[in-house]
Amino acid sequence: MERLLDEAFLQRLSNLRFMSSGRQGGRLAGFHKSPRQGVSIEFADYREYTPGDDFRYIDWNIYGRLGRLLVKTFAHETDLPIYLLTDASGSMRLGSPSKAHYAARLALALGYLGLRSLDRVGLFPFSNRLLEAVFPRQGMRQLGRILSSLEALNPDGETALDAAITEFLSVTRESGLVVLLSDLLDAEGLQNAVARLRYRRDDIVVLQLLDRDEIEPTVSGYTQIVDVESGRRLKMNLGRRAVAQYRKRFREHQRGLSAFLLEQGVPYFVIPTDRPLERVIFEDLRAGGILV
Amino acid sequence: MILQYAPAFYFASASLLIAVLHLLRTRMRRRDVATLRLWEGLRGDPHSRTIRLRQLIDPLLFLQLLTLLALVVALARPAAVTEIRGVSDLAIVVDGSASMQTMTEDGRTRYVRALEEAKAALARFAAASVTVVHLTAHPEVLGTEQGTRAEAIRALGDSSASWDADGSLNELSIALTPYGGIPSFDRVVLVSDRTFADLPASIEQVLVGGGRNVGITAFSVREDPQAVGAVAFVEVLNTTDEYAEVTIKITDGSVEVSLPEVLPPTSKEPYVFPFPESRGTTFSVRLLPGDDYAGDDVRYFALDRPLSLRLRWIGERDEYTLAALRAVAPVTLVGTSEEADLTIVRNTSIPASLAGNVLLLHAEIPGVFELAGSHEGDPVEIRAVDHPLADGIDPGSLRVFTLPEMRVPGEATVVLTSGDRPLLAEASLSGRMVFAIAADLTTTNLPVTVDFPLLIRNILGRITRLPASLSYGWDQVGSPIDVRGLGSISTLIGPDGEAIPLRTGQRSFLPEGPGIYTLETDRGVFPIAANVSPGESAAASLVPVAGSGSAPARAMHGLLALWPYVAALAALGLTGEAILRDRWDTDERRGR
Repeated sequence: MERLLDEAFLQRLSNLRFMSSGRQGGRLAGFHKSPRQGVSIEFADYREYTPGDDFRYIDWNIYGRLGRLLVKTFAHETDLPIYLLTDASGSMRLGSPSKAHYAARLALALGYLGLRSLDRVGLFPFSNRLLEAVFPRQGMRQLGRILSSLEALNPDGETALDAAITEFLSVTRESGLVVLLSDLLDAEGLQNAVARLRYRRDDIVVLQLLDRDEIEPTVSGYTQIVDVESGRRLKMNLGRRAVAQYRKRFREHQRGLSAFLLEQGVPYFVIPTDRPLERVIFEDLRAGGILV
Repeated sequence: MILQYAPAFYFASASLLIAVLHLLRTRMRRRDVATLRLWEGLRGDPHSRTIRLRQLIDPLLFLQLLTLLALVVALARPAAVTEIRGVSDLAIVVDGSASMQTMTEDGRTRYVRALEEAKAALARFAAASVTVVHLTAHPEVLGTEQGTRAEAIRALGDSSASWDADGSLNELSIALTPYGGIPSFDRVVLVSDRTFADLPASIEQVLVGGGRNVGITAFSVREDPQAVGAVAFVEVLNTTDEYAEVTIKITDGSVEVSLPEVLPPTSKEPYVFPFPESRGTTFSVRLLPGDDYAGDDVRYFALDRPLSLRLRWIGERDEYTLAALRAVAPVTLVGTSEEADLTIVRNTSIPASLAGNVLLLHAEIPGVFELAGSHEGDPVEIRAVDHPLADGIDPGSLRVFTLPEMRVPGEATVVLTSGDRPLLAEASLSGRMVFAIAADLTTTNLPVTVDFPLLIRNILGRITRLPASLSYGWDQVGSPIDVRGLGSISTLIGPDGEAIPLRTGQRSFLPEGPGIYTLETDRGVFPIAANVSPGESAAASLVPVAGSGSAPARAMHGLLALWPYVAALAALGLTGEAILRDRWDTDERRGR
């Protein structure tokens, strides 16, 4: 197997880090500002006093002028749990390089970025269920565990996103940044999955990995089309007209996917596997506000 | 059609392997997709003609099987049985006589054209064995007798025309006798520039011609028995149908006469040339300008006498004189009783009745040249200016210490004197020449000066040699010349000046080219003229003899190899299969 990442590339990633949307809270101090205002040096906001609040943070000047009890809150920097959900179903075997390989490289790069920012990063491969996961931890040793897990992945089986996310939510209690890496060509269950994640207040980023031939299939004549996940087969003469129909159907699929995720406020990136990984990270994800 | 290697068809079983491989091959392309959801319900393109054709019958399999079949058939070495005009034993006879060296209008000699005709005949007849004969007066079989066609072609290519005379059918028959004679050959192809009469039906004559010729067909010289000089007889042949302006030049090496002449068309003209000043022994006649056949443009003749001077010596021998004589001409000393071209008499006297030319060295002929007393010598002077004997002589370099008083006859000419006394005199007495040097050579410096050999040369130039016997023989190139009568041979020099190797005891030799051959024997040095046969000068006769080659060639069955064609078909099939496959692949990629 080709090396997933090389040292030079990782070196170039050192200036990047995740930009969180501000909802996540972590247990350990990190570079991300926690929504839990607390002891910190950076003033964040005022809020109404509620019983139990620390008296030390009541702004007595405002109380004197306005007669209202307001408590000063401060921005609290914390770590960000980053969940890398990588699709390991059979469809990820396709492509050259395979989508699974590309996803592994991308997941590793993102994991590295998270770990460098003192975030906890975990890897959760899935197919029609959650596969053996690497639970979030801090520190560069975690990168080794993620790498080992990625290298051991053997894409197989069908995709059942909803079931996998349900299982994922059951084993992780803390919300965080969920990075979903999948081809999403069979997006059944995606809506439920996103809804469940959002309910837990996870930030979601969807990275759709597609082989060029899936985007723009070539004419291949008399062809037996095989679903690599289900094994079902279809015979047809794949000429220009059939390809045009496919493209139309594919565009509709992508359009629906995009519309749903936009509606849900989920950042969504379509990444052809022939696009250099560097450009995805340094251009696409930065431009999309995922990395800074 | 026959198959020369039928077991090759075992290879045809490979067709099963091809068929099995074909069946095993997945003809339909496979495309793995992530989900069929995007593909289900799509209407596939209608199948192209190519695909329909492939579904009906796979032309690639057909081409592969066809190629295999062609390959197998080619390996079986098929051959077609053809009926060809053939002979079993073929003799190719090429005229190699001198006339075949005639240059033709297209820049090739008749012989080269004859070779091409011979090769064409070889191609025309499929013969089991071929014998090539080089036909001249002395025919020979070239290369391997009864060899293959390739050997015959090689032998022909290595051959060339000779200077020999024409060969006859009889000589051809003799040459082929070791191989059963002419009748044993199914066919004899005779390529020549002349017509052979009474050809057997099995001999096919092919005639080649070309070139124009004006040549000398006869040349002989006879000495004038009455006086100094000779008479030459020349016969010139004009084979062309035009008037020919020629010049006939005859030379004996020192004297030359020439005659311009116009020859009528197809004529033979005799000429008699008086050659009054000639004292030579060898002669040549040249016809100018040259023409397409060089063999008769120059002819040679040698009188029947040695080139060497027959010398008789009386009295004391003098080596200086002998050396000077040998420096001027080959000399053969003969006995005192034998006939000689020159008699040298020294310090003695001879009777006036002694025949032949005489050189008196301080010697006398009583009553004719007499010596008396002895006087101190004076400076030498030329008395008879412009006399041939004084040619080239410088009297100032000559010294005479003592000399007798020499009394000369009235008809004598005193050429040199010492003071007032005659030193050298010449007289023509009764048809012979007498030369007299009064002083004893030992009392002069004459023998050690360069003037002495000049003087000897001048003396020899004044004598008339013993007449040659009348001989009109014409020794021909290619025919052995018997020289037994000329003594024991020591050296033989060819016309080109090169020595010709001789065997011990050789009594004859075979001249290979025209010219003067010089034969040195214990009896002198003899010139032998060899000429190309005058028969070679005749024009080519190109009228074929009726009935020539009329015997039908035996019908033979030959094999025409077909495997190269079948192999080419296999290659074609393979190429077609590759092109078709590539094209279909391209079509499929383009979705046609």
